[in-house]
Amino acid sequence: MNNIRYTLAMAWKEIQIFIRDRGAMAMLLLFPILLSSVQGGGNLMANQPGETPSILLHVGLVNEDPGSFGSEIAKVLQSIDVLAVETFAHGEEAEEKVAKGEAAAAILIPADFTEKINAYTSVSIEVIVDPAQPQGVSIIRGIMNKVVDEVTIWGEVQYGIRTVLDNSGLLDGATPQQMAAIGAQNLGVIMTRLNEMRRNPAIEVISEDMKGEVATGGIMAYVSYVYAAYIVLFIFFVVGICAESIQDEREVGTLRRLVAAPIPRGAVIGGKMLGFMLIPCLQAIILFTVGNLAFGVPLGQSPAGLIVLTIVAAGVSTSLGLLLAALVKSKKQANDMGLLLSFGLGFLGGAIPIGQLQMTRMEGPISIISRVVPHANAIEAYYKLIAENASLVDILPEIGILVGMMLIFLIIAARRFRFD
Amino acid sequence: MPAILEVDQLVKKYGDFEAVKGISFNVDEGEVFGLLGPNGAGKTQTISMLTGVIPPTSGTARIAGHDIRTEMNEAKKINGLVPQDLALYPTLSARANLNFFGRIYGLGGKDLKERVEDVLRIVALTERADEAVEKYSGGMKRRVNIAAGLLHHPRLLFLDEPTVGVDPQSRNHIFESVMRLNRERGMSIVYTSHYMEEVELLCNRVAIIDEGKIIALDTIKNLIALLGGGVIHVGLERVDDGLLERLSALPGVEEAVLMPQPAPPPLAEQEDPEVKEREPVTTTPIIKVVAVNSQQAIVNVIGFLNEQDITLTSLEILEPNLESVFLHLTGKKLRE
Ligand SMILES: Nc1ncnc2c1ncn2[C@@H]1O[C@H](COP(=O)(O)OP(=O)(O)OP(=O)(O)O)[C@@H](O)[C@H]1O
Ligand SMILES: [Mg+2]
Repeated sequence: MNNIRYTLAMAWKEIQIFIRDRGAMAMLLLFPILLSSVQGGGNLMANQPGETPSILLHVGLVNEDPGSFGSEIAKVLQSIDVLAVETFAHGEEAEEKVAKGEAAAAILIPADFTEKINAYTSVSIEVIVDPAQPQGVSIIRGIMNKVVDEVTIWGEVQYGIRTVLDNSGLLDGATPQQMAAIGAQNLGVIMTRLNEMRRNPAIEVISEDMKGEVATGGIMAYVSYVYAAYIVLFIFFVVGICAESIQDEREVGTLRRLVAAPIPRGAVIGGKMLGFMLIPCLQAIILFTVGNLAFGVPLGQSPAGLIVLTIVAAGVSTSLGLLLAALVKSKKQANDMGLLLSFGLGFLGGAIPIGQLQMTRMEGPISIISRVVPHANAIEAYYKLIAENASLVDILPEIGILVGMMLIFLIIAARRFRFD
Repeated sequence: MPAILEVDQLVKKYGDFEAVKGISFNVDEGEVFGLLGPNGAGKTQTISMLTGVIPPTSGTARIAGHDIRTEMNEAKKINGLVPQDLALYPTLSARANLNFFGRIYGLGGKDLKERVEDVLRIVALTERADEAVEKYSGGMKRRVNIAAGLLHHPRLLFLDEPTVGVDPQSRNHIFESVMRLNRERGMSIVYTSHYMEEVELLCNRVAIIDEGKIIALDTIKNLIALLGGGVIHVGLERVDDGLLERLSALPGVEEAVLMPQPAPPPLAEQEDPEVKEREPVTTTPIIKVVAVNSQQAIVNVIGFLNEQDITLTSLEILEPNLESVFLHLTGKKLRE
């Protein structure tokens, strides 16, 4: 009974410290909100890749923009199957093609395109069309609106994150390590976003428009996967933070003071673990709430399943943090290794969604091998719950694997843990 | 008086290195006991073993009769530890820190609240108790560090260098608190320091510890009496055969011995011009003269050396304090 009280006192102390650590708060709570809203919005606009439409339109492209957004648009246009893109150095050449009827449209990306997006001022792309090809005109207009949308959203994300963080003062107290971690987290998501832009070019939406129907199940399945993947990615960000906090207590000497008190060492570790488990649980609640309300991400039929799974996943994540804390010799090491583990395992376990499917459902041995990574199991279980309306019983295999991993991490951590 | 702490042949080894080499001493209930020793002497290691932070390699101790090997948990309830490091959560307020450490000692509710206010009063931080500890001065942080060790009303308090990095005002305040805790609350205290003035001021008895061993243990008065009628260090340009015997035979002199020569610094350091300038390498021998009567001894020794035509290069009369006792016993300065 007393041990529970000690454990709770430890956990409460952890929460008090977390509340005062604005850098960590921003990283762990604000980012999931920001990124999930952007991510969710982006994903809903994209559809699953489908059959290639048969229409072929010739367009002339002039990219005068030396910046990244211009070239990104050019790449996206070139990757669209229905378009045959020919690039020109000068506007007149492209216009001539249209005038001759050899191209349905000429697309001009102005020189200050990237600059203006970065400065957050409005910007336009000029599209010169051949009135003799009316159905081509509407398609190209649609494509261009879509493409520009995606690019500007991307610009907004970067701009938005910057301003929100600058203005909120949330990062005022952040250490350089935290700033670096935030940068890395940011980068991870932007990278993913880029990948998706390449994979799900705007043409899918167009082809959808032409068919006049949307495969809702397909979109929602993909969105569910992406959401599950991100939740799991974020849950495991606590690994480094937990390890760093323990190493900090070791260096400052509070850990020695705790050990000198008449409480079992297990209560010290248990309290630490409990306190840090709350962070991923909060992240999951935020992500699901935002996802569900704003983008209709399904929540499935088993709240119990979601709760149990989230707690177990948070337990795996924090016990990995304890294991890391047992091995590291400095705070920097804890932080670096934590990031490496978060992204590395995240990548290996499919928590950075670059495919259309979670790893556990891919063909071949990867579906089995991926089970070694906690992320893959957690994603699979979340996916089953939200996309397939599974019950708690249905995800017991994954829960079992995760609990097993947690126990292994905890046993090794307990053996190697140093208090002084 | 019954002993509240009995330390019995305590040893701590790290591989081949022996940080603590079999230490034994007793602390009586109500006593302020000093552990005086230079950096790395093994003071913190000893305290860490006695408070259950690290296990001893061998040996044991009893705290109010509880053996630390078998009844550490009981011992921990009697012990209080004020660690050498500022073991606090810097972003939390003093009050939040104290609330937390109080809960860890099983306190709660009204009792906890009262004790937190009580220890805040003792260290005179009531007014600023809600500020984050990181905003405090070094001295204030030290005071919170002490307060956290007092919450559970320990009968035996270990204070490990509680005045490091502290301004004179906070330092005096800490001394006063320690004396009051001892006198008014009857708390037994083990006070660690490498400042001999502090130990002389606060402690009844002192163990002088060096390289993991206790080299002297007694009341301050008795330790200073080890210097006898006084100790004089005489630097000479040369030491002739039989000189020591003849000096020892002089009236007022108890004995004269050659001091151990400090090892020459490593070559690289010798070549460093800065080091040379700061501390010229002395190779002239120094003789330690233990006097029965120091005035008589000085007159006779100087007279004798003049007769022998031996030039004095230095003359140092040791003050009757613990610093001199340490120098007398080890040939080293307490603080280098
Ligand atoms: N974990 C450890 N591993 C190896 N050696 C250690 C360890 N901890 C301490 N020591 C060594 O034990 C010796 C005694 O250290 P200790 O901290 O007890 O000294 P101290 O008397 O408290 O010195 P100070 O006045 O500097 O605090 C030192 O030589 C130290 O380097
Ligand atoms: Mg020490």
